[in-house]
Amino acid sequence: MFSGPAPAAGRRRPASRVSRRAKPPARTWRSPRWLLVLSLLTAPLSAAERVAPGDPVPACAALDEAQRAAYAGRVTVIDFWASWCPPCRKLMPLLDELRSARAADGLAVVAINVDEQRRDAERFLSRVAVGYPVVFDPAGHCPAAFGVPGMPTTYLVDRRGIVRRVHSGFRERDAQALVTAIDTLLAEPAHE
Amino acid sequence: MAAAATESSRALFALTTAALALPGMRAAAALPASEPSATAQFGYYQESDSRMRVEVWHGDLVLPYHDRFELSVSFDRDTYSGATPAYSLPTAMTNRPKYAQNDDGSPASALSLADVVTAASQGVTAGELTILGGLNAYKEFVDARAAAEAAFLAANPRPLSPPVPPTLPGPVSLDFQGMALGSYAGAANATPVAGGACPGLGALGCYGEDGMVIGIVADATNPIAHLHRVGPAANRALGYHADSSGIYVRALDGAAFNLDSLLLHAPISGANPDAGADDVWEILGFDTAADPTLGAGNGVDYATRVARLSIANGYDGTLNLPAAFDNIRAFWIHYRGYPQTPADGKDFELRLDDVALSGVQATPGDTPAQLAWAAALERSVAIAQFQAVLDRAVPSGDRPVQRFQTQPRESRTQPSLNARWFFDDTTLRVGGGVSDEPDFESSFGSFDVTREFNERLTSITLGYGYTRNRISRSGVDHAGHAQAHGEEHNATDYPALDAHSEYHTVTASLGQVLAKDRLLQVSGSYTHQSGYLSNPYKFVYVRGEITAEEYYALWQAGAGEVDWASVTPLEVAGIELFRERRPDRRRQLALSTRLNQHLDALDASLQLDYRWYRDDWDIDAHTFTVEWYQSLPRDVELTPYLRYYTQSRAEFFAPYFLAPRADHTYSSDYRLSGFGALSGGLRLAKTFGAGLKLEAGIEYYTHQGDLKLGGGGAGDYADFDNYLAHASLNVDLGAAGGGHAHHAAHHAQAPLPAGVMAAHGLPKDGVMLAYRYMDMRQDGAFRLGSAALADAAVAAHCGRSACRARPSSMTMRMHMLEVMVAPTERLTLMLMPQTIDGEMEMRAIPGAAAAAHAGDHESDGLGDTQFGALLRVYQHGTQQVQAGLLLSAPTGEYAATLDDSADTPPQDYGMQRGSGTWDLRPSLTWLGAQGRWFYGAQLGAVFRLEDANDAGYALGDGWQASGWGGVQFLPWLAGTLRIAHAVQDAVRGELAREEPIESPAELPFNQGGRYTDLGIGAVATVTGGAFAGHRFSAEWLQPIADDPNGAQLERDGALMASWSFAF
Amino acid sequence: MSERAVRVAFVLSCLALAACAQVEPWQRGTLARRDMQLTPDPALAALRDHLHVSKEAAQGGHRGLGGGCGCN
Repeated sequence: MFSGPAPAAGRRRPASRVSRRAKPPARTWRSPRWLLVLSLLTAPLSAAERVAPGDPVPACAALDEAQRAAYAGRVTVIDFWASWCPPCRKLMPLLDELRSARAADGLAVVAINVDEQRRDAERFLSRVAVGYPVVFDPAGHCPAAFGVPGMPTTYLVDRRGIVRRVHSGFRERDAQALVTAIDTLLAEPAHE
Repeated sequence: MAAAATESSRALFALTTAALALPGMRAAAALPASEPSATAQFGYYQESDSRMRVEVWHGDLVLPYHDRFELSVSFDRDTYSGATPAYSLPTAMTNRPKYAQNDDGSPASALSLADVVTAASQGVTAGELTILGGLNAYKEFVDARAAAEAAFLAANPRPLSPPVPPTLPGPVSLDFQGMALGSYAGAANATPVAGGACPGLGALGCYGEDGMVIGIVADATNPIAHLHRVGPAANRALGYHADSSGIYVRALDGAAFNLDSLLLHAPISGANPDAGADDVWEILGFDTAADPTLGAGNGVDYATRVARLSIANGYDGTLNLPAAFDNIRAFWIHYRGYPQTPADGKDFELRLDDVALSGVQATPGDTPAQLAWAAALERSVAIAQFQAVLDRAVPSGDRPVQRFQTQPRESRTQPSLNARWFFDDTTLRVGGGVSDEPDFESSFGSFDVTREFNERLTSITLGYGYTRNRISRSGVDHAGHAQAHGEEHNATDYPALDAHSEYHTVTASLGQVLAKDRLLQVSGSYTHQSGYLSNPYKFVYVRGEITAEEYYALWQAGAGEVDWASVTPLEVAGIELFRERRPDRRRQLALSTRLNQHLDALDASLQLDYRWYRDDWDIDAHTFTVEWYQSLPRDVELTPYLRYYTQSRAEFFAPYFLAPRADHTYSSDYRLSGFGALSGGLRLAKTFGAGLKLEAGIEYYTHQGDLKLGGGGAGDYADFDNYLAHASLNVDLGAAGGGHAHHAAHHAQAPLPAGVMAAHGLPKDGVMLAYRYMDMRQDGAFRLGSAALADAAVAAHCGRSACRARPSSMTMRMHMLEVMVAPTERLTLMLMPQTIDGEMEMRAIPGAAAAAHAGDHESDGLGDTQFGALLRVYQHGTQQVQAGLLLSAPTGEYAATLDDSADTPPQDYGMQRGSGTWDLRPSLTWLGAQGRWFYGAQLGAVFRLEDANDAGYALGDGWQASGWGGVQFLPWLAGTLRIAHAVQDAVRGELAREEPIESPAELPFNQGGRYTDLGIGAVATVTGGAFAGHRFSAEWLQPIADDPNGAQLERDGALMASWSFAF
Repeated sequence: MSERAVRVAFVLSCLALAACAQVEPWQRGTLARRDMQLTPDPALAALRDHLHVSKEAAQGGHRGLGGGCGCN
């Protein structure tokens, strides 16, 4: 789900999810008290820094500076995916269609594959071919740098290289919102 | 085996699995299966020593509706038959000498060996348990009599009878010296007056001497009839001549006496002139002192007469009477033919003197004490005899011997449905289904909720399930049995079983990701079962539930006198044999731990599972399972499996019981014994592309008393082994992904009528899956050529003897799975397993001797399996020619008997599920299309590659030609018209059978023929959406000209339907 | 074992597990493998259950729910 209107650029703020996690789960789950204690105690002690709207695109091994420069001035969708993740597989043909339709308007898509075995990803791509570049990051440097909260996660980056939307997970009903958000960014001028 | 397929639990697991399978989903919770998928599985279970065998079919379909909802349906069907353990008994009670009963019911003197315990699948009677071939027939029973009698007599001499005085004080001799009057006219047979004298006084009365009354027999024709005093005063005698009705003598008090002798003076004289054949003195003895009706009779025949002596007239002297005149109460002497005073002037004369009488020394009836003694003797001896048979010493630890019963072939069907809703972090599952078999109906429902938290590394599931079962007992209904035996034998008329049980189960499960390659699950379940928890087909041997005393009472009971419930609360099923009885409540607790570890270096995953179980029947069990999933190149997976199970025995279990239990709960079901089981197996799976997975595996299982953990198992008497082979096919119906072009390519090919098979190949790397169904019915009249035959004429078609029955209808249903894989552009490989269900109704031919096997017959199971290849030999534009070569393996039963046991006669050829021979099926198909029109023709044949199968026959060869055309009405709908002609040769050889031929369908020459059919059909192809590429077709085949070999049942037609999917 | 003891043991074991559990979302490919599922072959598992429930006394554990007969 998209995290609301774009905040001011350049400011990092903690992902809202972190604070939500601190809430007692008892609110949504009628657990016995001991279960509650358990869930609190088993929660990870520290959360990774997460890239949030307003943040610049972080650097990482598979997506180096040069590559990022290639996308400068274009609205870029960075999609973290894996062949073992069904919603990722569902999203990819959709992104491919979108890219074909909006390429002339300045839309670029780069997919970062996190399969540990590159051949698993290639096997999937042999069946579901996409026209956009796919970067392989079996070691997981990029998702760590982005603090990917789930699979798939799509980062919408505006023409200035600022992350404007972070969307984690994919369900059918999300497609329309994604298109709308992309169109909104495409309509923005490259320089204020 | 009619086991629980825990379908809903399977879904529960699928649920938990899905929740954990996608641990990466941060924003979206567990997701439904991304694409529809279907699984078909066949399992074959076989126990050692040809015991139980089960065929298990399973099919399921998972349909995600959208990404928040998923529906799954599944269908299970098991067919089981064979022998199952019924009960066990000590070796000492087996093979005891017994006097066999002759066919006419009389006991034979020859001995045979028999178990003391006898199984009776239906009710028994008191008579059967004791006299009618029951306990009383055992040699030990017979042999025990003499000793038991001697022992009783030694301890209990017969009570003496009290002395009884004779009826007359001593010997009496009537000398008539006391006759004071010249004549006496009293009737001594008349009803006595008070004191016993005859009516009348003085000369009108009777003469009395020594307590005896002497007079005439009352004579209505002569009021003055009388007897005379004759002879000198020193020697008087009694005179009787033709003026009266004779001499009648009785005791004054009516007492019994013996007539020993008398002096009869009847010399021939002027007054006594006649000596003809009928001139005879009749001496009659009576058991009644006074009978006033004697004079009105014929003088000889009376109901009260007990002795008669006829003495020719002229006799003069002492006459000794025969013993018949002992213990009489009156006698009468008269001249034959004259029970009344002669009215015809007949003359005769008799003098009677010195009548010697003696008192009767009456044998007194047995005294009450003596009667009681005799009864006590019989009872004591009989009980000792029963004890001799029943209480035969059983050595401690005597090895049990297991006895079996045959399970008739039956099927269980279980459809079930599950729905899952996916919320953000929570998944809800609701499911339910029914399981139906002839004697056990079960319905079940369950729901559970899974919650994921902790970055989706942890999930907790809580669930509840409810099951309700209705248990009956198949077999002969009890009431009918009782009636057949009649009341006089005191049948155990228990009501038919109609019981219920219900289970409540709560489950809790925790799943935890431990590392990126390690997963742990801990689960617990608690089940509360209540109601009828026994197995209605298991029996127990219990000594003492019916005591020797009670067996005696059963033996002696009169018709309808036995109240079985007061004899024992158990259901009596035979001598010392009862239906098992378990407590009506059971509480079960199980805790499981599972660890999955992936080993990246080996590309393998290890799954370890341990389960601890305990219930309040005192059973503790431990289960250890290890499974190793080894991935191999080419998408092959090899999975070895090892499992060890051990349990302690139920508190009320014993192989046999030598003393009754206070709570009357018993079971000898081996499943409640202490034992261990070791099983292991191997399976191999191959995935084709992303969407089709084929798997086959075999597992071996050994149940042994000695494998129980810590020892102390049930011993080895119940040990057995089994194996389970399975094959399954899983299709991910959406796995085509971007491969939609493929179905387009394949289904761009013209549609085919549903009845045409092996007609077109696939493009390279294509995979197609199809399900075909055929329903063929024969009904109505028998035909000879094109003429219909009356039943009477059918009778002439059984060869040497007349037919006694004929099929009246027959239905065959075929379910076929077709898997096609194309390794190259021109070659397509095919595998087609199938099942066949047949039903036949037989009816007796009127006027024929009763048919032994009239009624319904069924035959169902695996059919022959075809496999082979299709080669595209020509293609130009839309025109192509395919050559097919299939081999048919004899996997279907070809010598099926009426109920699949060796004791019943074989089914007809038409009801066999396979040919029993390897068959070759070549075919040549031409296909073409033009615009909306399409057409084709196929020539096919079947050749039997063997002369005969093991049952002694081979089906005939055959060939078929068919041509069709069709039109595509709409992009998705086409109609087809087809004409087909088939020739099928008669059966060669003959199916070996011991029973006489009864029906024409049992003869080889009444098989096959020449058939022409017209087919009309429709083909629907899904052109878009989630099910694009699926094709459904149906065709009705209408017979238009039949020329069967010999006499055969008319064909009604056939329905063909198919579903296919290519990717 | 008392209910309380079971509960305490349960909580403690979970704590122990949590200590080593930090698997990032993109690192869960192995866990998504079919052979790492708790019941990789549900139909076969059902078939085995079928066999075991009808030949053995113990029931339940991971698979608690269901219906049908355990006869013969």
